Amino acid sequence: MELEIKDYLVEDVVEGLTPSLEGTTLVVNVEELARIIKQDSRVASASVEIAYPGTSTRIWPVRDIIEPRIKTKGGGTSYPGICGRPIKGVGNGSTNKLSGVCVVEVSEVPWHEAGGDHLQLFLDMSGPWADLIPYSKLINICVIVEPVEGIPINEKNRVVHEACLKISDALAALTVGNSPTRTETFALTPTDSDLPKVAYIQCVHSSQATSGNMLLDGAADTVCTSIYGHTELTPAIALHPNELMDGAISGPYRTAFATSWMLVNNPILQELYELHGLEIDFVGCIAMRTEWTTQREKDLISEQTARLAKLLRAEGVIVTWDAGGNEEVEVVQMIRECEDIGIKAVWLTSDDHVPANGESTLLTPLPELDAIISTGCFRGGDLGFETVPAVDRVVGSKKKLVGRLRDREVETSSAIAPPAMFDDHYGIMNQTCKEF
Amino acid sequence: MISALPAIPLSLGAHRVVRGLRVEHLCGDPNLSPDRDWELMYGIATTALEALEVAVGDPQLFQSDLVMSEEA
Amino acid sequence: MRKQLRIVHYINQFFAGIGGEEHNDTPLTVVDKPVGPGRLLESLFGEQAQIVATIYCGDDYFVSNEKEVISEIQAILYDQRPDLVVTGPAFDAGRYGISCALVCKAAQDVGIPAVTGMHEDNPGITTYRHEIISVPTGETPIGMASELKDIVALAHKLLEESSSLGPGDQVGFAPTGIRTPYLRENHAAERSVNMLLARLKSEPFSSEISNLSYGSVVAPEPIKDLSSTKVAFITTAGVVPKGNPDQLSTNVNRRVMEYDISNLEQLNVDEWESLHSGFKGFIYNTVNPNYALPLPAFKEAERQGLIGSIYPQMLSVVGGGCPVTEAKRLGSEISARLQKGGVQAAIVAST
Repeated sequence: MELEIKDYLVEDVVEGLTPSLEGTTLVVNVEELARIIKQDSRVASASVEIAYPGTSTRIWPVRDIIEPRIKTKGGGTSYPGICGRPIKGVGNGSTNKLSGVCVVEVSEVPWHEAGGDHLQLFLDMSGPWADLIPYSKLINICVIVEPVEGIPINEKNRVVHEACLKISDALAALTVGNSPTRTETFALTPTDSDLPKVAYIQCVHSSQATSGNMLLDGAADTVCTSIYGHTELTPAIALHPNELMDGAISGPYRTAFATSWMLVNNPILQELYELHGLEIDFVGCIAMRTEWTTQREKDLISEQTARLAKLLRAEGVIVTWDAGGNEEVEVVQMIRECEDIGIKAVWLTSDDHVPANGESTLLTPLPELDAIISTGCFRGGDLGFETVPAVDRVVGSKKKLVGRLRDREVETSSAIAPPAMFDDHYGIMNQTCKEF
Repeated sequence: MISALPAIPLSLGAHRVVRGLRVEHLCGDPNLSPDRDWELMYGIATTALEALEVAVGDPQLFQSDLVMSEEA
Repeated sequence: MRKQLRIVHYINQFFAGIGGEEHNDTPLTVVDKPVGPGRLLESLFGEQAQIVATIYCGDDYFVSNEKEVISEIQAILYDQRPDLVVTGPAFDAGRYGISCALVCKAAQDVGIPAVTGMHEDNPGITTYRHEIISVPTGETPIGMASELKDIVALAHKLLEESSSLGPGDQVGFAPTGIRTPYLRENHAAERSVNMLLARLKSEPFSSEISNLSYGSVVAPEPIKDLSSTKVAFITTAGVVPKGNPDQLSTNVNRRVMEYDISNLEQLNVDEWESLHSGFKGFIYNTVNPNYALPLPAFKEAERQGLIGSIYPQMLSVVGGGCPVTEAKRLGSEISARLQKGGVQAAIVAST
């Protein structure tokens, strides 16, 4: 596989009648974009607003953040599989991407109706929360969309995400005919046989067993981060890193770092590609589903994943995951299995709540592994600030439910607590926890 | 302790661990007939009670035959 | 006029020049000037500092009269109102190290910053690591002169920065082991790959999270006669009356609730709900809450004479998002309550 990625940097976004990309200025017609979304009769309301870095702006509720991308050679689309998009040509050919901007999916539609996993993410364009996330440095093109009532929850989710993908496609299409700021080609070229073989294991949770979406409405699947459009609990699969870079795994789901944007900008892939041929032989990637609900299923997935890593001839693996207590069990078990068969692992994970007496912090003990990288505390309450400052402007819902029981309604613009979870799943930030 | 994921409490040193069914329905199965479901629930409950009377040294797993046959 | 840095110094009988082991029972004594190593310490602090009092005590005397000694020391500190307390250094002397640590804690408890010094294996630091600031020293006083300089340097930093002092391995004190948010120079992805390379090349590296040992508990003796035993039932699925009247949090719970089940044959789906947000509780909430805690089965067992009696309350906690320390605390609370209620055995139904 060989993938050429052309990066078109955007430094300013202005509203105008005729959409275009002029140098590094993106011209968007927000009314036109809203009209495109409303062509879907299942959309009840839609609007597009732009939020700029450094301003006193809050965006809520945020369900996904998408980097506008389009495939120009090799057929197919970016973000394949999800919402019925084709999967042809992924990982090959040429993909254009817009950097400096992102499309933000803003909607009140919950992931599931069975309760739990409430929408919790908001973005601030300035302030202490903004400092902790990469999106605050981008110009956010916010798509605020609500579906009609009376359709099943899975369909509502799809309507909202499809709308945002349409906008993402429309914006990315403006790159055609322009010159990219930067072009890079990605291929796992043959290397020196001496180099250690390294694979990347990406643990992605599926809420299939626990969300109730499939029990309610007889839905075919649930809503969560999807792999080629699939959200079910499935055996582990092997993937070429180019597939991931073209969006084979994409959102929306839940937390600040579990977004479509983050998945295609996964710094682990970039690091491993940089070292490929120089210090390592990057042999491939594995996606492992988590949140299985019996011991036997956890045993199966852990062992199967370790075996798949062995099949890829991995001598070392980097393991990331996207959190939860139940999910941690098979991640830890899989790492144990890898170490047992001689595959050296490094685990990238967040710290749990830090108690005052200094006791650690991993929910599930893993005495077999002493190679762990910490991305800091994942709980919003441990970030060092109790509230974020009040803002002048809110994009999206002006009211928000807060409190332990989510039973108090406040102005979104007021000084509220940061989102419940920070969790830098893929290690793009410099936050960590250190023993003082 | 009754758990759908017994390996965890066992690895942490809980001494008497009883296998339950699934995280989302621990002590029964809504897909079974009411009679069978009750047998399963009673089986798990009594396995747990009986475990209290067993002397154990290291952490030990107890499981009802009814659970094992449902597992598959 | 330069502000004086007023210091109180604590040492043991040996460093006070009273004598060795045979004078371990020297009672608490206060002198209003530097003594022993305190003289060098004061001069290292410079002209603006003064050791206004030296407190010394026999190591055995301290251990046997800990409460009174601490009390007396705090009284002296109230009186003297120093800006800083320095204890030791204790090197590898175990009892001395512990008393140095305890005096630091006592000073901190009354709002005075404190610093000590001792060898990394001294029980004073291994026991009180989280609570004190200690300069690592050698096992013997051979390097004391330079170690006192380190204490002075650390004391200055402590007085300037206090709560944000650290991390230990950079600033010069024994790491407290308290995990604190920290910003690195490069991102975690890069650090992960670097660590893996180090592992693959068998080069040294150091994990950013070290592993926890949970400690172990001896298995309780089996119940001799269950048919005469009172058994309690606990659920971690946060089973509460529908509507959650006590407002138990769905995640990161810190409370254990008790609900009367003495007159119930089972949990009715209209009357109860499960709050555990980790798994959405869909089946428990719409089909059968008894799957979370098989109450009808336990009631039947009671009728059949398998158990003596059932504790009248069902205990309910929410397991989701519960950090280990909170779980420990809740466990202790529950066991105290149950013991008071005459319960000898309990079953925890955990999802």
